[in-house]
Amino acid sequence: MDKDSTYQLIERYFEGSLNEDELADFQKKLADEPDFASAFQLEKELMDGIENFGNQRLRKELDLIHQEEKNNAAQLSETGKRVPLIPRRYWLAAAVLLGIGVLASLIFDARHPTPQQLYAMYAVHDFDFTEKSGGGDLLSQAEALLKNKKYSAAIPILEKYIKSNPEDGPAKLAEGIAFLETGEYERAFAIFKEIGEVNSFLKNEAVWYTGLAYLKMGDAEKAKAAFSELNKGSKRYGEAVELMGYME
Amino acid sequence: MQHRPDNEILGLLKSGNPAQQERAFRYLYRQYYGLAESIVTKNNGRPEEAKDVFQDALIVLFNNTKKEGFQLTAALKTYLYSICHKLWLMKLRKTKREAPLETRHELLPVEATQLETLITTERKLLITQLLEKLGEDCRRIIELFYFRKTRMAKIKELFNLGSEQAAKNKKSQCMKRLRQMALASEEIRNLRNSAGSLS
Repeated sequence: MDKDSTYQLIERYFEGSLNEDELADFQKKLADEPDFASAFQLEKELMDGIENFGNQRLRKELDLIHQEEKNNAAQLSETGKRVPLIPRRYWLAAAVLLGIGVLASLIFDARHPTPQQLYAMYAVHDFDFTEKSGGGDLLSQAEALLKNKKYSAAIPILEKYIKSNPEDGPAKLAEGIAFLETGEYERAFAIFKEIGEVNSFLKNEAVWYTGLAYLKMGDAEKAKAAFSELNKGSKRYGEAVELMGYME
Repeated sequence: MQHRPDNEILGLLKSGNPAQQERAFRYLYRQYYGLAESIVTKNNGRPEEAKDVFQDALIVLFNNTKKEGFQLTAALKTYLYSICHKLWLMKLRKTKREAPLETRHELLPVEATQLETLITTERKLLITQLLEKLGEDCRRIIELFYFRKTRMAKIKELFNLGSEQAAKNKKSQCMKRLRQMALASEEIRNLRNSAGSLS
């Protein structure tokens, strides 16, 4: 058995794709052939190393999520604190003066997030879609910037990439999100509209982000209208139903 | 935030799709991070120490979901609570055990098994370094296939490869390069010799 075939067999073992007979042969070779056992040992070491590498990468991803969730929570609690219109020291007096009804309405308001708070809760961007385009230096750079929330810096790089790859829908969507995050709503809407018209695969993503853009602008009604255009079978539909539950 | 069924979250983690896995981790963060914080702060810890405990618990959960036949025997919340609790106790015990060692100023005999563990850890680090040198596409394909359990059809889509067979070939080429780098590494060879001399 040549080296390539040996490693192909060992790869299949680690993929779990050997059948019962092949597995029995494999065990026999492992016991009888020192070269095969040594190749197996190397592959096992590589698998352990890959597991270690994967855990490290996952931890980095979790660090990013941790930071983002922390920021979101801080943002929510900061805006939440602004809900009561009466200064703190006058709370007691205000409660006495305005009665329990006013106090109840304050509690009620705090339990209903504003459109911008809903945006912060639901705008979880999946920048893996730049990878779906196959990589490349410009896209890798843009992806790294987007994942680090450096949206303004990512825009010119995405524009340069899209100029030579005008058919790349995921990259265009990423550009739209970057405009949305930097507050350039008109440009974001134009991109989402174009994607919705020409890319059936990304249509629901474009509709979802149109709704999110209206939320970020504080227009709950237009956001609802946009979400209602989502395809019921799409992955975004469930999220939209959940989100609109907060607006009722 | 609406509660999602445990099976839905496990399904996302097992999907092999990194975007869906991220969605699950984000949900778990929002839903259960408070559990870790409560365990840590009620047991002599600071709130910021909960981060590592919770992340370790998520990594344990993720790696367990990849095992064939893995099934939850309790609610996901209870499962995560138990792992966080155990991890924090282990950390407390470790801190307690290691502190006197530092103050005693004496060298304790090191057993062969401890050396083996050190060698294994060192070897894993060296292979991690080789993966870093492998190039972004290869590194990502290997990580997706072996660690994230991403299917070839998805890898084909993510990397714009013509077919599943092309994706499979690419993965095999990447593994071949990694193997060649490992075989050429003097440091890995030295470690193997050290391990051999222990047995």
